Amino acid sequence: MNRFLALFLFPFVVQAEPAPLSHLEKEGRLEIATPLYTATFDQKEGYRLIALKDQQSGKSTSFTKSGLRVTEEGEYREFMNRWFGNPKVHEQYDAAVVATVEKVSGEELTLTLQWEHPVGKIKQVYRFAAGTRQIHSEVNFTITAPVVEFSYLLESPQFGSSDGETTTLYPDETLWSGSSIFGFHHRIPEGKFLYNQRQQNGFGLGATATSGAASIETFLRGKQEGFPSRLGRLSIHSTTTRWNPLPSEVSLRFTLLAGGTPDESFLFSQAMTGEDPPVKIMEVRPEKNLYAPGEEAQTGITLRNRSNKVQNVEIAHELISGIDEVRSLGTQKTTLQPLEQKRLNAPWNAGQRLHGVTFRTRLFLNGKEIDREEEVTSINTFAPQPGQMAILNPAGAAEGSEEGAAELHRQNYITVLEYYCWMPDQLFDLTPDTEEWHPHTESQGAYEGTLTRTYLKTLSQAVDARGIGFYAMLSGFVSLPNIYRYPERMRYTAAGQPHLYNGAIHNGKRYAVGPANFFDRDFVRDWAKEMVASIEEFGWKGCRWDCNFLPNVPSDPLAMDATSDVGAANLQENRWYNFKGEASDQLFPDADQTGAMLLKEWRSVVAERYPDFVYGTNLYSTEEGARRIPNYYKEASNRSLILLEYLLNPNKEAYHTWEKWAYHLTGASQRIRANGGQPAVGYMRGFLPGGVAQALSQYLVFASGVHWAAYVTSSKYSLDDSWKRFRHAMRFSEYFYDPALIALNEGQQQEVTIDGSERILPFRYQRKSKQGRDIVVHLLNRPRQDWIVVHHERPEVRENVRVSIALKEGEKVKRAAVLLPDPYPVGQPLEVTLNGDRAEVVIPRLELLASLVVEMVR
Amino acid sequence: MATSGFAHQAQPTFEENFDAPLSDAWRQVAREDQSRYRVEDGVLKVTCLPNPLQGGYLEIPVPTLRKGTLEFRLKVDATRSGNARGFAFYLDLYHLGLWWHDYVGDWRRYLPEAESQRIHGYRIEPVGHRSLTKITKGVWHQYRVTFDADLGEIAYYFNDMENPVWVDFDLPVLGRAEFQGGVLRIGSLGHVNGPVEYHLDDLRLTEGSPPREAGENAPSMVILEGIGNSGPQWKTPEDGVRRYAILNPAVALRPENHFKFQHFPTSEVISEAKTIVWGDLPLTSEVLPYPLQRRIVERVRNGAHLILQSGLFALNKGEAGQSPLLEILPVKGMDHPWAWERVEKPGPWKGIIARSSLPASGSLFFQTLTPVEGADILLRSGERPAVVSQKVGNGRVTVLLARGEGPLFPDDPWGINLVVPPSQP
Repeated sequence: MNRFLALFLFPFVVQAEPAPLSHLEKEGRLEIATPLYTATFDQKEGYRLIALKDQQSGKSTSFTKSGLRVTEEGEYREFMNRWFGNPKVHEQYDAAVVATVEKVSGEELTLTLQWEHPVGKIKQVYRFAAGTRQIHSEVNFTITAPVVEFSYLLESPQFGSSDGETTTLYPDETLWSGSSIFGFHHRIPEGKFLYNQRQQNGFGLGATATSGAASIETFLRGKQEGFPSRLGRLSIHSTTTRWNPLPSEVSLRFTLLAGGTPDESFLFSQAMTGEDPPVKIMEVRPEKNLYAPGEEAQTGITLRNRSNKVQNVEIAHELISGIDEVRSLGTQKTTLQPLEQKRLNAPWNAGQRLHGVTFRTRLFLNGKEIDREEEVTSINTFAPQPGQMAILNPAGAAEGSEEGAAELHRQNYITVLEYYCWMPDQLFDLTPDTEEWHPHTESQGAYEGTLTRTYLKTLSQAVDARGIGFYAMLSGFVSLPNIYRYPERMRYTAAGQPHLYNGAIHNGKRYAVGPANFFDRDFVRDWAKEMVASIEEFGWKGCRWDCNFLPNVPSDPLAMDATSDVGAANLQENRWYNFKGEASDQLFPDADQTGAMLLKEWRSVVAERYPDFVYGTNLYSTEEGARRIPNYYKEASNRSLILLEYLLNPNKEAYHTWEKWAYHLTGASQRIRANGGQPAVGYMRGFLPGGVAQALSQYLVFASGVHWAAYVTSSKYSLDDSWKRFRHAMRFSEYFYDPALIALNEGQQQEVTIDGSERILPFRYQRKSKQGRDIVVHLLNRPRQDWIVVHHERPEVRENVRVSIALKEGEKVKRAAVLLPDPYPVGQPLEVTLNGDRAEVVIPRLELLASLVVEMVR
Repeated sequence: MATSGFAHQAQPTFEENFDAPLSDAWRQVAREDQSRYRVEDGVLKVTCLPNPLQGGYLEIPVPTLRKGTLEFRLKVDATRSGNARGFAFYLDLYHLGLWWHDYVGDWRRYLPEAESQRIHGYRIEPVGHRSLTKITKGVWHQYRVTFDADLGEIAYYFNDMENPVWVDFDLPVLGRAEFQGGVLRIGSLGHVNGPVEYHLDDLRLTEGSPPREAGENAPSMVILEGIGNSGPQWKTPEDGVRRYAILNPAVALRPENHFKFQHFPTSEVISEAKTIVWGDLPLTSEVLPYPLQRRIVERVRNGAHLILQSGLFALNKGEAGQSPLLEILPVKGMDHPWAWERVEKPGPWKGIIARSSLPASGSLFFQTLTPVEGADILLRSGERPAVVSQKVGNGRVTVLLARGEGPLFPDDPWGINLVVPPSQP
């Protein structure tokens, strides 16, 4: 049935024979019956909705989880010398709920539920009407303790991703949504509907623009993803209440759709979104997060006709590079049927202008612009430069989840995705011979997983299609079976035993690994050839080592800082022996030279076949560390991805304030970028989403020239708004990550002065240009407390922040602009005034981060 | 809820099921801001509050037993509050301290020990503490501690009531209780972020050790499984075998190995075994306390067959040091860890193996150890000894000096049938 026809058959309010509504309470259940459906609520579980039954077809949808969920704010108020704990979640089904049913008229009935949590009082009203499947609900919440958000959830095992019983998500008409256990969030207003094609039943949830909702989450999962049951989930999330004064009153309104057909779901969606504008750009989606210069690119444009009329529209595309360099990409015309959602492809060429870009689409109806939407992507030759870094591991590996996982990372502007602990043996087997295997690596001290070749290849393709570099993690550890097979390759303890790094028994099977004695050229070449074979099989675009070629230091680079005392005692602690009992320090008296030579060899063998393959490594990058191993440091950071795992914990006394952490990050970044490398700090764990600590930490990392490396668990538009900051960092990656940006040293600091507040933390850089130089200053607005991992109130907005720059002889300011992240990444021009030999600009407003760019010519 | 212990068979000398309010015999020495104790739903609910080392306690006099068994069930961080980020709850009996490290997630004991006994890697914890086993927060676990003050032996059981997770020797479980009288104390060490609740139930102290359960036979064979003795080729040969697995429990950044058995054989189990297999394991006291190794020596003299496997962690690579096993081994030269070699094509094989079984094909590693005078060289590869054996008292000790990726004898991985029939020790 086409949707236009549906308009006549299923007008907005579905026509049905009006009949009295009824309710019945028996055996701990409350049933509310309308002529179209029966809704059942469970008294023992806080009167949560447990089933919807269609009166006509007799088909029923059951909900294993449902109801309101309140997430308490979990940030520590005082510095605790540790990461945050998990926020506490208060569930409706745990509460003592009082229910009242009231008949408003013969055709309308309300169910009122009231309960209390330790964080406040809730009153929820459902409104049932005789002639419609739509159930309106309003939640009024008196918040008495810090709450970050609350949500209404419907979760059913009768719906799930494709495994023989296809569920389709409408109006998107997609078959999957979400990754692993995380759903995808969509902007409000919106109405979503899950429909099981075989069982021919469905349910929907939606909210209007004035509902108080921030997003609707959709999630589909199947048994083939390794879970015991299928799962379909819809949930409406409130706007954040994190900053509400206490106590405060908030409300959330949403609508359930009790059954119905896909055609009805388009009307439901229209009822949520309204018709203004009649055609809307739902999504602008460059297919990749990273394009090579000159690459032929595609951007998907999704349009939705929200009106009941045929619409002829025109869309125009443009690409914005640098600060505000606009390139027109042409126009397209299309016709949309009533309620039709259509996806168009806009081809374009990436061109030669590097760094982040904005792809903007404007929508015209009858010559008038009625909507515009934009998205950020990037153009570069080196994946670690424009975006952020993320990690996946076998704990979440399941066939069927690959597209969702890749999409989640695309939405977060990731350009490097490391796959952690994936191979049967980190040294001898990077090309598994079997379809299924159990990775054998150091993390199996903690967990064990199963991987399949199909999964890893499919994920690699899905990630690659989105312009994300898929990187193999290598720890350099030998697995237990190979320790016995190749004992000559092990490092030995003084007692003559192979050194075992870690081990455990999982499900009766023993796992253990030990560091290899891989310090000879021939073996290094063989290992590199195994990597080449693995690239051919799995399509790796890079690697990330968690080991090093330095003899006499622990295999895990995280422990390299423990070697800073190069005295005899330290050497003795790290000394290992080869198979014959010869001591490592005697075998390799010049560790730096040996390590650099071997690393160069490994990289050159791989580069012979794959010149663009990116080498990455975890590396201890303090000034002292770099000085101790100058040759190795240079080789390791040469156009590499460098993970600064040693800096990941801002609870440590050395890094636990904004200023200290920035000092260490910036120093490491400068040393690494001098060799063409790009640093990342991570894996960042434990920041609770949506708070100031998380936001400022991310901005601080970017401003230091470092990339955020983390497990990505949240989609766009969810409470975790990291994606907005990642988007900003990608759009203006030129001003965060260009290796040519050199930090001003202590003696140069007075060349750029800031007159605003002592809470503003500046990061000052200069970059030579053909005609002169650029000054880039990132201004971070610190909150009152200096501790990083602690709850912060939003810092006071700084207005009219004056920045003064000393001009060199013969220098003139060409232009100045400020780069701002909210609501979209944007570069705004600034006026420049001259004051003697200094140029001055005023940044009108600083919330958390503003970046000043001043271009100067001679 | 009844425990899986032996209370139904032996009359406890002290028992508290928390089915009724605490009796007056209990004495509470704790303020409200230190720790709280309430009986509710048939369990004792102990709430520990932030108050480092000033957490207060609840105690009751109990009979002083020289040989006894303490049993209880405990749920750590019962409400999963998120505040259990240090350590708080403890339960002391006599001189023995039992406590739970919430952050690490393990069960520990404390008994005064000499400075020389400090555990590797623990620099701030008191000497005398020892991690016994991992626990899971928020679920009930069953605990049992058996002690014999005269032998100085204490065995700690966790969920599995057959095999302890640790055994102590020569430690004073009674201490001052011998002349001051016994006390059982439940208290808080106070290292928590906020209130943390611990649930305790079925607490009982019984004289003697638990009798063997009906139908439970003593194992005829004990296999101490080493690092390289797992996988399908190391199958267990027959019924009546009790197998103990070694672990390398912590990340070792530097080249030093540390091992711990998941469970331990008790002296009683060893004293009844007819065959004991020592896998690819070091001979250190850390792996198996010397008193238990002495029990093995005694058992061999009384008629058991001890078989030692070669490997990457055993024999001359096994840090034999002062191991009591050295006095009964049929080989010497254990202080040369690098005396080993790979032989690509071993053979020709010569020997007097009781049942025919072919050694593994392919290359093998031989540990270069010298047979002691009077030892029987049961198998040679060329002139290299591969299997050496000797009678010790009424028993026998056999050493397998070679192995490959897998066992020396694929058909008989543990070597129990190949060398000497069990009927002819």
